[in-house]
Amino acid sequence: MEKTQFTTQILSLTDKLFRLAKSILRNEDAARDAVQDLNLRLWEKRTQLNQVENIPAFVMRSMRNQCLDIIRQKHENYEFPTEIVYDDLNPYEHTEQKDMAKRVCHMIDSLPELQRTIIRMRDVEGMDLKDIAFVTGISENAVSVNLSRARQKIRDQLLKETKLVEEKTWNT
Amino acid sequence: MEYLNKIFDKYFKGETSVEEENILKLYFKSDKVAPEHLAYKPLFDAFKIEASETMANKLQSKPRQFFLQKWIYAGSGVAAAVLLALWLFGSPVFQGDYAIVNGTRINDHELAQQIAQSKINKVGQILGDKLQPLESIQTVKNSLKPAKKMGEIKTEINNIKQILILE
Repeated sequence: MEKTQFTTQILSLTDKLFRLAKSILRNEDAARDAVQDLNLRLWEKRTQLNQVENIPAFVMRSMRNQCLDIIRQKHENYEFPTEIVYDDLNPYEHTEQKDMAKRVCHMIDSLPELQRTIIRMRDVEGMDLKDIAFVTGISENAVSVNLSRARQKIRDQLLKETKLVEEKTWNT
Repeated sequence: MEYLNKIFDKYFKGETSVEEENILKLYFKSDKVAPEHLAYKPLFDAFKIEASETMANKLQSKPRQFFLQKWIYAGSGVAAAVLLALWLFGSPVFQGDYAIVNGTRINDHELAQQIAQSKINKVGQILGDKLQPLESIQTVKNSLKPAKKMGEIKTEINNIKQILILE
């Protein structure tokens, strides 16, 4: 793989990789380091990348595996300190609405790794089930099941919180 | 509306296609969200927030942390140097308003400071001594420069000699 090819096919995935790493590691600095390490490793093995059929899925899978290795190296149950700050959607939007959206981001962060990785690959990155199955190493059916569970958990929490907010508003 | 409700049902069962999910995304982007669906709006807003996140804008949004990091590194360096110096040279241990030098407690603040100063001076002196051989090497090199020119001068003299003989 030539330098230009590497830039267009691999480096263009940097933000996607960063979001995936951040979702798994739940730490921005660790995610940034992981992406840079992966890019370096891929550059060193760029000659072998020509044989890869689906480069985006392959790179995403490598990123996930690397992040899982990092977690395993730290400790089996270790979680990075969550330091994620979610940017505002639009400065003119209603604060309550913005807060709720950020709450959803945190709700997703609190899901098990597989569920949060799947919901983000699907709903944030718009990836198809086949690619998600390849990245996570499970069947498409298992992806659907995990996706459904993740979405339902978020919906239940969201409805619960909305109800609480409404009750508070009525009481005041 | 019934069509949208069907998509919502499918969505939470994980059975929607990418196209159907795009319809939901567009629906929540518009201003025409039905009151019964408003509860789901934060979910789609959250996806939009996350999709706009890049590694570069995350770097730009944290300049203060880098600034702080720089000072932490600089501070750690200075602290490490001071600790090393104290450990190497009999370490006067400061505990409040007194110092302990070689097991003797010195309560006089000024005296303790003087001892510390003398230790620091000693570090400077030793560092100077250690660097002296390097300076000597440079001096020798400078002194040898004319000797290196000798070869060139000899060749030049031979050339002149040859010219004189020819004439």
